[in-house]
Amino acid sequence: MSDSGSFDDDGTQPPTEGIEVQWRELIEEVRPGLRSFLTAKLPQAADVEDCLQTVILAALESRPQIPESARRAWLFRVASNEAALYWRKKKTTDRVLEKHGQYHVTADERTAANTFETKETADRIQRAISELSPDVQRIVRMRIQENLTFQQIADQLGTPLGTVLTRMRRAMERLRNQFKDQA
Amino acid sequence: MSNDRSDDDAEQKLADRCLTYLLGEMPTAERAEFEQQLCDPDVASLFERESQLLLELADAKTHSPAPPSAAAPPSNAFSATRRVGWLMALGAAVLLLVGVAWQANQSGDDRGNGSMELRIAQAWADSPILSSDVLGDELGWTVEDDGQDETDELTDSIDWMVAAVEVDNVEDGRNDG
Repeated sequence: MSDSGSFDDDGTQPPTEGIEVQWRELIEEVRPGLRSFLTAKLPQAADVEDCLQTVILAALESRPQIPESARRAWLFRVASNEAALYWRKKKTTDRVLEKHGQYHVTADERTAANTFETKETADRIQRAISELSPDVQRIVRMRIQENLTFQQIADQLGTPLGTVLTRMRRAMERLRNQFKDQA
Repeated sequence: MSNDRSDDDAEQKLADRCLTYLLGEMPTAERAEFEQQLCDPDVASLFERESQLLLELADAKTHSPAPPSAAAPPSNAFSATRRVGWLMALGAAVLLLVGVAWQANQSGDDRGNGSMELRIAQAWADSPILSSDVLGDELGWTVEDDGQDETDELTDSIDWMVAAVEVDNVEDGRNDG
């Protein structure tokens, strides 16, 4: 897996391979960031590398259909989950060693635990979005869901670039605060 | 107080940088420096929260670029108008159904009575034996000037009875043959 980031790009891939190339390029771009992020969460360099490879493998195997603007966030979210799983496994192992019992954290248990929390968060975000003005909602949607650049958004809306940036920043600030308060 | 505010400002600025990085808009030179900062658990924690928020936003339903009128939240007036419209439509439908049912009932009665009268009238028109002369001959009656009114009245009532019998005969004949 150490060479998972390298690939032959002859520019003639069919669409499915094109998507894989996009993901590989993205992974290469954020690999240093992922490594630093995992370093903050895991104790050993070897653990960091293991988690990093797991994240890369997950991305290349699943290639989830999410907007391009959210792909980096998805990679870091997977990295965060893997780091959490590492600690859970470690805790379980420690407990097993202490009690000589047998207990395994399964993927299903992990998913079930996260599902309720995820839905609650999604509901909160949905409410927070609905409280934004329609103009601001439109900017957020165009940037995050449609992956338009701020310049493209400004051109389409006939609004100065600075205004678009300011509205986006304020919207994110507001959403961020609500997200933080209830997290 | 001012320290809290400056902390908040610093946090917002850092969150903005996280978002810029996550959206892929950070210049390459700045990116390397920012990635080094991610080794700090506090920065990593804030970065993680920003990633989560971005994912939720990507998945959330935001306002579609609809016309301004549709963009406004539905007002009470609009809802009330629509409700009244629905009630009126419902009332009209009920009235229509009642009307149709009543008319069907009426026409059913009319059809029953009318068909009997029509059949009798047809029997009158078709049957030559229903003329007063023949009728009188067959019954052995002679029409006299005296008691003309009484005879006419009697004849009329008998005529209708005979016509009814005739209709039955005609019906029986049809059924038999």
